Amino acid sequence: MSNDFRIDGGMVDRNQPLTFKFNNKTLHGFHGDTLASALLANGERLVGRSFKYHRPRGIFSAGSEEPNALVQLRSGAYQEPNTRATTAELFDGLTATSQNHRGPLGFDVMSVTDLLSPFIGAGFYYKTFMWPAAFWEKIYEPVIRASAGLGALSMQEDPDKYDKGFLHCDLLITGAGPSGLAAALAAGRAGARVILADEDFELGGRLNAESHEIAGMSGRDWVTQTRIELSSMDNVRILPRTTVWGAFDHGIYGALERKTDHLPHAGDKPRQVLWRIYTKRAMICGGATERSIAFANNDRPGIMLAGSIRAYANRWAVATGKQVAIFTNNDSGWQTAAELAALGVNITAIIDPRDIPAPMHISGASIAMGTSVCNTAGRKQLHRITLTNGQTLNADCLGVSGGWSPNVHLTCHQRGRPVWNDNIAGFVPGGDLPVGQTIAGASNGDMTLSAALKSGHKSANAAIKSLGFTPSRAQAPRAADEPFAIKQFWHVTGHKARAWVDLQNDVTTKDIKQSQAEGFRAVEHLKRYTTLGMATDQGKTSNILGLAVMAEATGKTIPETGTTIFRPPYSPVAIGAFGGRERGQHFHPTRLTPSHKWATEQGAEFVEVGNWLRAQWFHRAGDKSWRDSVDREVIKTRKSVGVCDVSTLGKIDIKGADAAAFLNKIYSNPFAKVPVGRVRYGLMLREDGICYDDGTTARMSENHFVMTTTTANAVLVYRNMEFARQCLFPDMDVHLISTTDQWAQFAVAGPKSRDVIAKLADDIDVSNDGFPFMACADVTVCGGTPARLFRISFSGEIAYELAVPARFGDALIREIMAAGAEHDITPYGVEALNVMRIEKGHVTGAELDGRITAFNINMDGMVNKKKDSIGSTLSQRELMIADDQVRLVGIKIVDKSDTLTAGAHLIAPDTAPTTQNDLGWISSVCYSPHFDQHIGLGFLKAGNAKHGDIIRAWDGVRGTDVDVEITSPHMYDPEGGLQRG
Amino acid sequence: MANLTQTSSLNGYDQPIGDMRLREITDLDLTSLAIPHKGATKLKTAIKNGLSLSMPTPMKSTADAKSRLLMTQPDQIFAMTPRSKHAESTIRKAIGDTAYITDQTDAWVVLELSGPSSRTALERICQLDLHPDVFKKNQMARTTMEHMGSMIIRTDNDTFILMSASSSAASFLHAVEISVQHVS
Repeated sequence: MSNDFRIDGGMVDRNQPLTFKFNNKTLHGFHGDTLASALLANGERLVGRSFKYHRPRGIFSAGSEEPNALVQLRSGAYQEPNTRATTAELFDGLTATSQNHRGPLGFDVMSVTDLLSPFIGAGFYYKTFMWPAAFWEKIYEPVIRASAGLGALSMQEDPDKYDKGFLHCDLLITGAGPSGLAAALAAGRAGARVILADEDFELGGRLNAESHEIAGMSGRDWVTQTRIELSSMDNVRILPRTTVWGAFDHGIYGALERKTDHLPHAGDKPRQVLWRIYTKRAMICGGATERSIAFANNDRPGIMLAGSIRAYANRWAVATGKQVAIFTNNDSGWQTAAELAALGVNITAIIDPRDIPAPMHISGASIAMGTSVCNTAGRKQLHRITLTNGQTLNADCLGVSGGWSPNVHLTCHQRGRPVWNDNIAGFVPGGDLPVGQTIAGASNGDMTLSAALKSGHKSANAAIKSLGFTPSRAQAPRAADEPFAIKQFWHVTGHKARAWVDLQNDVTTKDIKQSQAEGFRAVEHLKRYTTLGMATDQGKTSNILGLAVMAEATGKTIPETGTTIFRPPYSPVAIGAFGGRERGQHFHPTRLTPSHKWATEQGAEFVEVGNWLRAQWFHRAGDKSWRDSVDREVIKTRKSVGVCDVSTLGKIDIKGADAAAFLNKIYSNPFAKVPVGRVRYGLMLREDGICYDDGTTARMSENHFVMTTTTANAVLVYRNMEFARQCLFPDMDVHLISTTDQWAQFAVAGPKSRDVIAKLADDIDVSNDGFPFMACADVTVCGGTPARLFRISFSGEIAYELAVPARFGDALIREIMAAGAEHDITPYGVEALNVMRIEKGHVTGAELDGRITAFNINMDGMVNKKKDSIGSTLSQRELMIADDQVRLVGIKIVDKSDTLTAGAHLIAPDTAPTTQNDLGWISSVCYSPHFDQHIGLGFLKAGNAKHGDIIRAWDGVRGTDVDVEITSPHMYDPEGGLQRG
Repeated sequence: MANLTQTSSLNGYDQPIGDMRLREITDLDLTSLAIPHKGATKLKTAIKNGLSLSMPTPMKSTADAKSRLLMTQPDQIFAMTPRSKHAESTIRKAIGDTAYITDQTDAWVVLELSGPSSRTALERICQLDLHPDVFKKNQMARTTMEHMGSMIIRTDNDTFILMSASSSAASFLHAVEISVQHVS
């Protein structure tokens, strides 16, 4: 095992060795490692190439702020690009590859771009690729995209599962470091429902990376003790591996829990769960992120954040170098040096730009106060550093600490703007925080341990007290405050080599100065011009440094320069997690008709109608195309009898003493005096007089009506009627309930339909006298099954609609087929239904398109002038009923070999197809087997006076122009004798 | 003519999954009882006399071993009573004409999810807070699950009734089943 850099101690489990591969090289680590710690333990320093210049890069941090060590994790379809090695939990068999290089990682041919860096600074695209314009999409952009960028997608369907969920709590605590744990203890002990979420797989935050003491024990032991206590509380839910990534309205937070990312295989479980957390109060205990100092060639593998070096040593038992130097402007860097030295790591030097006495003595280390690192050497691995005092030192690892920036991201998600705090040289939460949100610990600028514990404890108690809980009497955990002194020192000037500010986007101090020089001085402009702070790390280690460099360049202070703010997500969330559990078939619910199983057996082709699946046609032997099926269904229905499942039509039961009066308001035509046992066709208008739905309503008893609506408008009609009932006519005793799903309903149509119904219905005279056109009744069928029978027709034939409770629907369709066998009954689908209704001139949604009035469909007589109903007054506006308005007409082609297209414009012969000459349009077309030609319905200006005229149907989209004859819309059986027969 | 055979939306689905059981309930009549204007008192008395139950209040249900009443909206109660041949007639025998009665038996698919992990499973699909201190036994709510309108009733500590439209029963079952599988 080649763990040459492994030292004693740490939190890894040496009893659980793990094997993994990086760039096909087999390496070893332990349970508890991250990929980054294991790579460092194995001496792997070069782990990737930079975004733009393909510079060699190594691991820079120990957390989600990592800008360099992005890898492609796993392989094949499971491959995920841009995964931070610093947060990827090591598991046995893990495979990772470096990204953004051509050829081996060590010999990236694209590193030639580094030599071209003087020509490709910030904004070079905008200036360089101006001409010719056509080259941008075809040449420039593809070339740039191929040479720059991060990881690659597998281009295969993601085989992983994802899920979503909903959680609720009194107090959400984001971050399980010292302040978060102290807060959870306080709130949990008081009985509040607490969710404690942390992006790490271990609770403790920085306590795992330090050697602090709390309450007389090591910080790590205190974390263990606290975890045990919290786990014993039913009211506390601990969510490790969970990133709270967004703060939304009304105390709702988005969180991503990585359920199985740490396992070799997810099994059949979701890889990640996207939680929506409903909170009454929320505490942000997100800690702080260390930042770098800009100096020449500060991006070499081996140059890391000093606090991360401390974390790798304390938590993962990894020495990040054999000769470690520290460059720090604050006391935290000294703490790193001291702890590493105590662990036996060779500290070669501590360089501190502050002109103060050295804060401590580190055995064996040379100390350079008032001095900075001004350059480094070592292309793929740091070898040497040069100081501003001219001294050069050998070092294979340089820890840099430019101070700590509070993690204020979640405080900004509702436009809160952080404010500058000179004492800590960082931005702290400011402005209006999201409702119910408080901040504690280092996130709030409480940078030392005792302060963090106290603020967590105090803030939690305040939060739960505001919810009515009584805080426990327990005091905040006791600890000492470590030294935290800092000098604002941002970058080392006086050297020509590039000094990196944003490692992920290859943004240097020179780029920022160029941005300033070219007028992009506002922080938002700076960000967009240079790409500072973009991409997966969202500038966690670079934003403040960039602002500081800009402030220096403009001669302003940092508060005067301002800051960008943050939006969700805090760290990257896979698109798959946002998509959730369902792709494909279950992406939306599917509604099935009661005869679906039977229709499937009958070879039905289904079509989606909203969420419904309806039989479109039924294929039979000999049918060469769908047209053959549809023609056959129409012909056989018109000749004998057909059956169609019409259960999808909206059905609403209307009951109450005022039901008739209510319907009289809803429909434009009269309903108050519809006799019991009769059905009436009705027209519904919007308030503005536009017709929006039609259908039949049957009076089953004095106080009971059954309404049918179009399938598409079932919900709209119900909603509008419920509004009318509750808001317009609250004094009426009327009640609505949807019965769409309650009843299986079948249209039985054709000359032989009466014979079929007679066989099915118990004890009812279905003769024309006994049950005439537009009759209805509660009946029983098949020996006692309750049913509803309606004598209504959409096809124009003598027809019935028979409804039974849906649980009998499958049985009924089989009985209908059996009863109609002697007449060779045919099932027909919505295509045949559509053909027959066009032949008959019945309107549907194709005609009632939101612009059409009763006048337009020749039903102006149905707008009753003697009563008040919704929309009736506005439907009578002068221009809406003018003679030259369009009218519904039937359309037949003159040459039967031509076809019609819906959407074609109607224009007069010998006129140009222009807007001025547009006379109307075709709304529905079909091939009519009855007329043996294409026919259609459409709207034509003053169409009622033009029956018999020959005009043109011009379709500029499809390039057709055919002569058509205008007819009555009632092309089939215009007198209606068949349906009444 | 043969009598018609009944089929349920999910063919009587009944599966143990992990420490839970998910099943379709098919032995209930569901009826909507719309309260006539100014008729609440009469209905309350009729319910007491005819069903031996008290009138539910909003978001609550009242129940005995056989029947359950839910208040689904201000002037509407849902009755869940033992399956009979004709739901409307059966309930009318109990409460007379004190409400406008509409059969809803076939409009809904009724699932029962029970077992120690049932609340954990429902976290994946139900946006309501089902903590027993918040959503107590016999409490009910109308909500949506995976874009489907639904009702949820807590009938015991770890037992929930879930209802949704019968036409999308298969989609609803799939949604609940996946939730259960993901946590079991």
